[in-house]
Amino acid sequence: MLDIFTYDFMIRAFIAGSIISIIEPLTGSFIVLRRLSQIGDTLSHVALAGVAAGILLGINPTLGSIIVVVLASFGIEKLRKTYFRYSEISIAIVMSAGMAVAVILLSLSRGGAANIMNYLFGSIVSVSNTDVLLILSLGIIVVISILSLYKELLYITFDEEAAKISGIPVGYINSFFTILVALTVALSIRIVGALLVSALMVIPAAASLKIAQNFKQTIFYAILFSFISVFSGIFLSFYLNLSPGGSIVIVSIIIMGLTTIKKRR
Amino acid sequence: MNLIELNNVNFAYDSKKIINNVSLKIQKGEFIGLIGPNGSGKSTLVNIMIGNLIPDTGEVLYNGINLKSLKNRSFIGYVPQKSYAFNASFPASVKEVVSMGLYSKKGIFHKLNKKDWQEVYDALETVNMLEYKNRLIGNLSGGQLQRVFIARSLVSKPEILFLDEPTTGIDVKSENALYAILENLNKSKNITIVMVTHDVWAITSRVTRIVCMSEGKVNEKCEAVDLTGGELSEIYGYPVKIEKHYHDRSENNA
Repeated sequence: MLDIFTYDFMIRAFIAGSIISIIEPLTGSFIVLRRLSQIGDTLSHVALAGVAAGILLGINPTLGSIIVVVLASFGIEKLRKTYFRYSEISIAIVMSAGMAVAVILLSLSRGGAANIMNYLFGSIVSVSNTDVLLILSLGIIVVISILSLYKELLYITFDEEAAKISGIPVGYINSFFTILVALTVALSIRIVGALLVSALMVIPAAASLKIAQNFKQTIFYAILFSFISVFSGIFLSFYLNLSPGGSIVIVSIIIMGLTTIKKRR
Repeated sequence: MNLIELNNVNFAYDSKKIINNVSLKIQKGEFIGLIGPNGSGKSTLVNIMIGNLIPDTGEVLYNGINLKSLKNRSFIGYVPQKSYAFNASFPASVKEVVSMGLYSKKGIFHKLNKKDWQEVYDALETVNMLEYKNRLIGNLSGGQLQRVFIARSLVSKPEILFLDEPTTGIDVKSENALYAILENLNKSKNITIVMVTHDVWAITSRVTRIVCMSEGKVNEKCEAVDLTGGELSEIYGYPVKIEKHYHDRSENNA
């Protein structure tokens, strides 16, 4: 049964998966409560442009997606200020732009289409040492940043106006948080896949909302559910030869269903 | 010295004048009822006094110092109008919400310590909500919720408390409990209170002064607290009848 751990690529997948299972719900809990669930989808489409650029230029695609997604997050902030009455416009524009650039870059790189499938649906066999290093180091930075700004993010999420009036630098913290979300998306697509990355941000947090009695519990349960989903998903993916992203998301949806049943009782 | 002094304050939204040359002085220990018809500029004036909006011209002074140059504003407490309509499913406990009032004072990277939590519990005690400290805020009544928001403002130990229509959406019994708490804060803790309200009858017996606004100006005719229906009709621009309903000032719990 545990022969799974005799493979180097599986150990890399589990290390990367552990970090992803923490950073996704950590940022996701704030995103869900701020009703910004769409932002994960947008940034994951942009991340594909970064992956395509990485393949075309011959650099690590994860690194390519990190650079492009962080730049795009600045674009979203800028557009959100320009169209402040219709802030969702910024999300739609950046999503289309990301997809358009990804498709053009892919058509320029011969043979890149096959490689990008790993980033669209996630993969556990192709996680490289460089990927693990990037996910581990930047993932720890995301965790430390969120924990350091925990109370400010909580106040802004609960009542942005009151937080601003009380003297919290809301503008700076919002911009910094968008960068953290961008990093989370770019790091996660390696395992979960661009198409399902926002699901792991949203579903464990949504399940946690059903049973948590305070905000700390919301974060705790979201991470717990995400951890169970990612590990079960990777196991299922290995033994049943399924897509890891799909398996992870299906497990998280089953957990959400169970929390809904518990709530009804 | 005046606690607050507004000198010739003007403010416009998209070239529409909302506050028109307002000058106002508020002494420490006053309990002010700010009344006037919808759109008369009451909430905007409060937002200017708390520093959320910057006046186009004129100045706002606290103890003689311009608000613009005051970085630490923890002496200003504010209970917003929309607090009755917030996201009721937000997964925060009562004590978490009240602790938010300390976050700015603590600064980034600093966690709350035992003493801070004691201050949170003291603030909850002041508004008679300590027993609900671990309850989800979505499970509170409108009146209880309003008291939690008052506790959030009190926890940073403000000198002045602004409340924007705090009784909107709550029943008369809860309203009485709320007014009793405000009177207690004003009298025993010497906190200056400025309250925007439409409930003229309820406040006339409680406040030390009424400030009336109409069309962005302070109406000098109604500084007294014993307004008649006729005087109010003139301020509001349409007939106003004062209806006396049950207000038991000794009530403390909703």
